[in-house]
Amino acid sequence: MNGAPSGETVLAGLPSLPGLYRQAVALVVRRTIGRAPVASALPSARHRVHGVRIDLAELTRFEQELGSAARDKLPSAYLHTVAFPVAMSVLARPDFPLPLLGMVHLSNEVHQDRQVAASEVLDIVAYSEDLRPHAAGTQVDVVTEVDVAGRRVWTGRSVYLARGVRLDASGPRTSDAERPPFTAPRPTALWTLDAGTGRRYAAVSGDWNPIHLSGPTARVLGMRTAIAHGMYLAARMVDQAVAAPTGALDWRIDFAAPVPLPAVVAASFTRTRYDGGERVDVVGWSAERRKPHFTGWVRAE
Amino acid sequence: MADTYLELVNTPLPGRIARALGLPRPAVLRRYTPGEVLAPRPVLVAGAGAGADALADVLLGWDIEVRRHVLPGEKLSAAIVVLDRASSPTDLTGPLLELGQAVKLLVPGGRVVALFRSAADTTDPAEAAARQGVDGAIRSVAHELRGGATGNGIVLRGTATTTDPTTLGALRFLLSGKSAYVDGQFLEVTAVSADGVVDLAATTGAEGEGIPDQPLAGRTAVVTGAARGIGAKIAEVLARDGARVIAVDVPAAGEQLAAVANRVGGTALQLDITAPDAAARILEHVRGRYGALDVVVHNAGITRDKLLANMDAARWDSVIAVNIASQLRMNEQFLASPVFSESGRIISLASTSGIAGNRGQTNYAASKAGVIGMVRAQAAAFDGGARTINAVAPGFIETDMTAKIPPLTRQVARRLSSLQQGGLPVDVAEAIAFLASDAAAGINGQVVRVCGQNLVGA
Amino acid sequence: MADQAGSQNAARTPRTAVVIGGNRIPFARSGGAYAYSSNKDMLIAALDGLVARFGLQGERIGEVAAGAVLKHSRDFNLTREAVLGSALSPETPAYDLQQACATGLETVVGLSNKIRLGQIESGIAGGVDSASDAPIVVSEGLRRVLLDLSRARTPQQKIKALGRLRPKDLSPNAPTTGEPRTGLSMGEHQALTTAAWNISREAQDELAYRSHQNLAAAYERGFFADLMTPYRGLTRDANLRADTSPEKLATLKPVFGTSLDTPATMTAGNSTPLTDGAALVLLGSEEYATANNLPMLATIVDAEAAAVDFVHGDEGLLMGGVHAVPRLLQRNGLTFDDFDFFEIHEAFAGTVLSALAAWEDEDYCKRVLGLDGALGSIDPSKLNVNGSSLAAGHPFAATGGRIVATLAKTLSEKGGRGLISICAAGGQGVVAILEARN
Repeated sequence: MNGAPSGETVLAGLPSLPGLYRQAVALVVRRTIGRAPVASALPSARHRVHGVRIDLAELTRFEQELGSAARDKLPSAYLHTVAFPVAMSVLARPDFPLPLLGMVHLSNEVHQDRQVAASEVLDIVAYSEDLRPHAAGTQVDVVTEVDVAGRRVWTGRSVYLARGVRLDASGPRTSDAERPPFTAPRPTALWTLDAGTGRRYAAVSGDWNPIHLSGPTARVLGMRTAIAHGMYLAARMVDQAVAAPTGALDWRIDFAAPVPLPAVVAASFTRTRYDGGERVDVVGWSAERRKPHFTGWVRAE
Repeated sequence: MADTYLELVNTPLPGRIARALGLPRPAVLRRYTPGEVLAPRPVLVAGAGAGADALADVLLGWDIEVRRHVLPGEKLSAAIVVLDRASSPTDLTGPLLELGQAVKLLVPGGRVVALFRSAADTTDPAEAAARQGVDGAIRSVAHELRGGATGNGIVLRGTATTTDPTTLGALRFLLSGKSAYVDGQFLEVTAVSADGVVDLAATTGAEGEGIPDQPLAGRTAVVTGAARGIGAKIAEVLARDGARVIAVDVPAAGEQLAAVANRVGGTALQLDITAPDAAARILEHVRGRYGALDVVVHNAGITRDKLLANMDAARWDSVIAVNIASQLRMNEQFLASPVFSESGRIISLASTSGIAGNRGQTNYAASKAGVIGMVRAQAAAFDGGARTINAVAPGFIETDMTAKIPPLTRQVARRLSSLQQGGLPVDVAEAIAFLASDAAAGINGQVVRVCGQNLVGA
Repeated sequence: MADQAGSQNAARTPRTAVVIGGNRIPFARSGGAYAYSSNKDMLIAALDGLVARFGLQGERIGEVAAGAVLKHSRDFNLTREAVLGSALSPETPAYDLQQACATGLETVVGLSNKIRLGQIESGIAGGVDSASDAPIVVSEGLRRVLLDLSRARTPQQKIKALGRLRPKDLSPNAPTTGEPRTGLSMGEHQALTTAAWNISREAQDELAYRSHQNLAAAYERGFFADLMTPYRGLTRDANLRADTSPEKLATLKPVFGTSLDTPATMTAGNSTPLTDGAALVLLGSEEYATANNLPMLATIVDAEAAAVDFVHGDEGLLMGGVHAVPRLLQRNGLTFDDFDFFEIHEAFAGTVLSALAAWEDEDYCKRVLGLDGALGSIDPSKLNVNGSSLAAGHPFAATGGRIVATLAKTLSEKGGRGLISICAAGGQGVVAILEARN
């Protein structure tokens, strides 16, 4: 990676996630000992990878881990997974102002124009935007776009939070203080996540972020225990809401509190049909403590 | 239950030891197998007169080598002594002494059969003495026979002759391995009117017609208590003889009952014979599945032994209810139903306990003696028709029930008969199958003991 | 007996299929009398009892269809293997079917349709299940390693495959009754439905009590004497508690729905326990029954299957039958008033009561079932009159055979028309109409 701070960088191929994490760890060390500067603005860099092909075996493992059918159409969340190294490479840039490690995933919103076949060749671009304060730190959007033959098929926007990082004390802060008290709806599903859920999802998604792998590795990054991947929850939510999408698919998930592993997550799926499509609203919460983990919706046409 | 002693003394060395020690040496009995040759060796027909001559002719027709006198050194399969003309005890001398010579020449599993008239059918004291004398002499011969040979009589009642179908049927049965454990018994036969017998030639097989090994072909038979032991064997033998068998037992025995029904290609009917609707359910089943009921075997029975002094009402009542009251009630309903065949057969299981009594079995003996009473009364009512009712009284039979007798008592009980061994369920079943056949059309109201000439109640 | 009597000139017009009779083994509680009996063992026992009852020894039946919900991979041809182990002719064809708890009823529907089309003259339908002898599978990790190992050709590939084995992979996985798509157990699903329909604890206990009473009374009058063959020393359903009472049932602690906001009402007493057992029915054309002097207990009139979307919360998991019944009634031009007996499978007392409540609810019937108004009420005195699954137990695939034989015999005794509704996993329901002869 040798691009300028602004403009587009074309990567030779999909970056290696472990390499990016190693790079991030090194950056933390260098910043801690003061050898690396901390930027205060987002780089305008866009990272692009051309000609990404899907490995069917990897796709199948991903689908089976999620309990979804192994189809030749890509699950919407899998496109996020395929594009994730590109997005990560943006966050791991030395000039990226927030520390990659320990960032919390706040939400995801995806717009997909059509279903994508596993045989299609993908062009992926990722960039960050909208660095802004949050009550608990600073948040940023990472946008990922997937094109096939020059046409946009999938756009994802992930919001990450760097806890305790204050770039600009005067900026407006969003606050979650007014969040209404949570009342658990009727559950329609119960997800039993064992302690190995994070490791298994890491294996099929390539996201080896230590906070998902084990108690000790998570504690190094300030978590009390390992937590489930946000995208794991999102992938299950989307698959269960619309098991066999045929056309456009939009979805969003907002994470309220991490899911500590192991856990039993109760979920409620409520479907509303409308002309030409359906919308499924989803709430996921801790079956034990009755506190929300996430809310979301999936819209299919 | 295997009789290991019997098996042991029939091997060379232990056999010699037993002989040296004067221990009982029970023989392995000659039992029926399909295709059996009735008499592989010559058969003696002793006695003079038209009856004896006619019988000898019939036996020749059965492909049997017939001797009218003993030939020195020639082994015999059977010795038949015809005494239908005996009018005075002195008439017995010649034929019985001839029989004495024949007995020495009997092959193992040989047969002694006497044909004579009933003392009850004469008012002449000398004639009655002669006839009754045969009874005593044959019983005694039976005691003397060895090597699994048996001695039995056929008592001609009324106008019955030595060659009546029923006489011949009884003779075939007694010569055959089917009567292996029938010893010291006397079958009373009466002449059967033509309309009382259905196609006898086909079923006696005397002239090699019909289906020789299927005397019950086309008949429908109900066997109660068919799930195990003697009942299961009865079902098997009736099926072997061609009958369609309805195996009946209590629902709780349904698993074994199903196995029996499947083995014999019959149907299983789970019901409690003491239930008021038992006969109705049997009749309904028979009507729907088979049309007519030809044979009923009342085999189901229970024991609840206790000395009378310690007997309680529950033990008494349950034995009476199952062993006799149920039979009375069911017979009444069978006989009232058009489903029960005009030439139907009822065979009830009695017991030597019902004849001689047995310590600890007042209730059981009452029920089994009751069966005998019922059979005789019902037989009188059947007299003149084509239906018959008879009882079979087993002696010591090797079953799960007798296996529970303490070992020493069991060994003693086994040796208490002329054949010095217990019978097998198949021996009881063969007698029942015989009584169910057309060949036994002239046998009615009899109690046939299958006891190896047991000393008890002899 | 000749099975093919009428097959050669099979008419194109549908014929009539009748229930000739049935046979089941008593149902045992899981880990009880049949703890060491396999599905095949129990199916053979039920087959042999049926063969014995109707004298089918060595007969070539048109087809035997049965199934099991919890099935070993070695039992891939369970029913055919059972036929080969039974007293039937080894030339009797057979196939396995699985539709969860509706398996047994669906085999009856399938074979009766073949009979009606003239494809077969006779059939044996039913099912078996063992919760005791349930298959246990190796963990996913071990399974993948073993599969890769079998594909490996070089020692290096083998070592590589084995190297992926982890200690935790060695612990096996037992089957669960959880819905794969929701992760909720059947009881948890029903608890949601029970709560949604406000079914009281008392009503559920009362239904369970009546089930035990009715089943016990049926045994007392010998009703099952020609529907059942004892097995392994069991002569009655082991779950039957003739002496239970609403008071005793009221003392049991709830086991499902304990995490809901509404009071938990479902207990071990008003839910079916895990059970082992097998049940079969003998079906035939009228011609077959007549030619072989076999009884005709009832005519199989029609059947309907339905499924609901429980994944998106549209409907309760066990409400499939609720949707199937109005469709079946409509097709046959019938209403509840035309029925004398109702056999609604008691997966849980709440299942039956939710169905009854739903059919009585005008708004629900209009909105969800698309009817003009409420479907109607069912007189409790016509419901499960000889007991049902709460008392007898519920070996999943065996329940259909039990219910069809029980209803057919009831109809042969009392006359009239009967409706069967069986709910099943996956949001399914299969329902059928039986009619007395004449």
